[in-house]
Amino acid sequence: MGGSTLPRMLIEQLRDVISADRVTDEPAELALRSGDFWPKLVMARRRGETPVRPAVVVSPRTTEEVAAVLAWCHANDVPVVPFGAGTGVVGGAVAHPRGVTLDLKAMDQVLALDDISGTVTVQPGIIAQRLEDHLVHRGWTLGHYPSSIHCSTIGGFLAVRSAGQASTGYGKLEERVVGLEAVLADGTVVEMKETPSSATGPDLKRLFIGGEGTTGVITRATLALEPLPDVALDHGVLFPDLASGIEAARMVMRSGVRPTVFRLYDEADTALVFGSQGIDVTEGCLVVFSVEGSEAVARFTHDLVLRVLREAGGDDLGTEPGEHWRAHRHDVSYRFAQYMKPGGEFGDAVMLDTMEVATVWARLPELYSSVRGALDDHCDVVLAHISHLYPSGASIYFTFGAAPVLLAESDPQEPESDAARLYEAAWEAGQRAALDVGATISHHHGIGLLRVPWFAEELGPGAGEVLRRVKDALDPSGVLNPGKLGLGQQRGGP
Amino acid sequence: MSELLPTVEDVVDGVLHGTFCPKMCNHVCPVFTATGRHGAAPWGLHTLNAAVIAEAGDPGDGAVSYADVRGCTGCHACEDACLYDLDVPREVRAIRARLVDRDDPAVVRAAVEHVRAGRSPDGRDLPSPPRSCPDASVTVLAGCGDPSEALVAVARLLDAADVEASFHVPDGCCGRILADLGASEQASQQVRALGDALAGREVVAIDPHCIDAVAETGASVTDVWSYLAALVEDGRLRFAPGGGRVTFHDPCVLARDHGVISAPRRVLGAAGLEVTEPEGHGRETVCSGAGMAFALLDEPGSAMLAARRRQQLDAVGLPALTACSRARTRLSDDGWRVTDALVALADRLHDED
Repeated sequence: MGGSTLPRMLIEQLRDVISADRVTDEPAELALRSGDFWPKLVMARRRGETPVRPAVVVSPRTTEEVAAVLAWCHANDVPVVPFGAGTGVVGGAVAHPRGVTLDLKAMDQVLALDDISGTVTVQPGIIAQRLEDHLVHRGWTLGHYPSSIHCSTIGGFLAVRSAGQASTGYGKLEERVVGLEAVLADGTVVEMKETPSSATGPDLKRLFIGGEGTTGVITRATLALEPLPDVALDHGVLFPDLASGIEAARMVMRSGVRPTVFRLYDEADTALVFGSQGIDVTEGCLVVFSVEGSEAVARFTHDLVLRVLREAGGDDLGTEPGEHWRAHRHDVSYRFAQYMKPGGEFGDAVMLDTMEVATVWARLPELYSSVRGALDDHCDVVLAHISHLYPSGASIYFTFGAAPVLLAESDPQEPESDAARLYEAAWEAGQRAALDVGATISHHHGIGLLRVPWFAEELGPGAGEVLRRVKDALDPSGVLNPGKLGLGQQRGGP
Repeated sequence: MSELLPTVEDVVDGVLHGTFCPKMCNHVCPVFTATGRHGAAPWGLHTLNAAVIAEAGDPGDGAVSYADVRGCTGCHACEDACLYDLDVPREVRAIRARLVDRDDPAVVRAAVEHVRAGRSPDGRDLPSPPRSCPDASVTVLAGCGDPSEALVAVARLLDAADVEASFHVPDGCCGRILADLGASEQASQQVRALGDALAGREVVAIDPHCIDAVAETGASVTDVWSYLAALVEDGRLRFAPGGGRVTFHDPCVLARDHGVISAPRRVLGAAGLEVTEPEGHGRETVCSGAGMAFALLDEPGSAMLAARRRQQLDAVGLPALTACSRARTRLSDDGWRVTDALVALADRLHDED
């Protein structure tokens, strides 16, 4: 009943490569790094299945230690799974049973804050909210506020190309990277200098941002900041239907200004949002938008956005919906347990997940109806909101779930099996619908293990070949996060 | 339900819920932040605790050990962040109690022996109480970690306010640290003894960690800062002119657990000690690493927390005060000085006091 499947001799060697207190094969610490918060893993745990565990966990503190560990793993053909906070939702951190889980949280320092350039340089293991607290205390913000800001690392965010709730205004995090350092599979340290922009060949930072740990391990990032806004002006507008809301959103992005946050909820999600405020809304689609910045600029932007929305047929609801959103914007993540635990709010064996897809404006209505229709066939509830707006399009974020015990017409014999089956069916149908519309299968959660079945089609043969050749060039032994992005061989996992 | 001596049945629902939460409180846990150990983060503790409750081999091969659940300082930062107010320290106490029954860990045996010998659970000599007034209207309870100089300071402050006080130093431990360690039987004995000693009295607790132990006895208890603040507001406690600027470390048990934040500042302000806040203050205070017997169970981990907190306090560039003797001891490593705020207050009394 030992925890490790690496020979003891190799583990002892690792304790010479990096100091012994940075290496653990304590069973509890291995078990707690078996994977991330991919709902499929949560459901497997709920069924009582034992998750795969790494052979050993290594916690480097410096780039040099990362390089030493990776070089050793490369030389000994030991797989490496980079691990931040373990809260991704696509299985990107599922352990390898014969591998090293490289826990980067000991690399959590703010290395430099450049008040002149408005940049911060950080190690990858810092929890994003802690970085934001550090910045706010000093008059800055990163402008990156996903719900997982409380429980994810900056390195993890960069590895999957995350987006925050304020991405319409501040951009995705990848757009804020002005400098990067990464370590290759063989321990080579790659420094990509800090610059606002350049014309010096392909942007090599992009080999690692979104690489999900398969091309290299990010060990340092320099990120562009924004001054802490003086004001945040929140507002709500109600549209008669989603189509008019989508058109209004497109017009906002044509108006010459950019709201910081823009969220358009479909009818079902609107009813839920208003319902949580005790307001009975039977029809209509809510827009919540927010503008942050200096007083004059924010006020001008807010007033212009509001005018565009009104002229597009929106009914001004005042500030209350926006303020309610701001006060509760991270609650949904906290509620995950309430829904998913045995005997939770909707009974046992609940299936619940989210799917974030994106496309250009011209195809957005069709994307919504196709994916929604596909999910409806397998779920008891489907909610959606449109956010992360761009001049050329937007993302649609679907929340979908089923409650086989609560809503079954008769007691299901094997509710957990039903939940698992519905989960697989919903994902296949939803991703297939997105691909058929020409949309991207993931806007910001990443590929991990979850989306491997559809990733080849997402890329197409040419781009897929480019990715494979890049992987082979940077990691010829295939030790870096094998199986993720469909690259290399994953062993274990659900 | 007992805060200090919960049973596994008291906490099982919270444990189950916590294991399914996507670690939303990770960012506030000082132990997780300082050590990076998942077994020290609330989610990790929920998961380990669930395994103990189920008496399963998961999550580790072999049963979860007492050492596996060492990583909590009882700071309640996670409870503040939690939409469901899950009380992880309480949960850990219950699970440790079960593991103590099962494993009889040496560290707990040693702590119990110290207390039986009249020492604090971590082996220190107890403070000497000042002379008690025969017609005391209030009993000041000293914690096992309070230095004698703090008790002398309180005596001077109360004397200056014409308050007749008696002083009580529990034999070994009020029960709190033993409860934190999971030595629930011995903790109960200490709490009973405390209750006998304090019966019918109005109690003022110096160490905020003792408040729950007193509450367990049913006696009425106030923290010393709220008590002093009332004296200041009544005009009974006055200070000499002058003062200076300081920074203040809010003890997490006092600020988050008991919501006492403005009282220390009002009293310090009345004494001319103007507080410049450090990063992480009030309810957002950052733990020193002293609580929940963490230093006994994981000295290196506790030291890592202290180093981080010291850095934040040092960044202010002013003398640092705190209202918890355990925090003061923990933070005062490596030659860095933190002053007991009660001692600093007493130094601000008029000379004739």
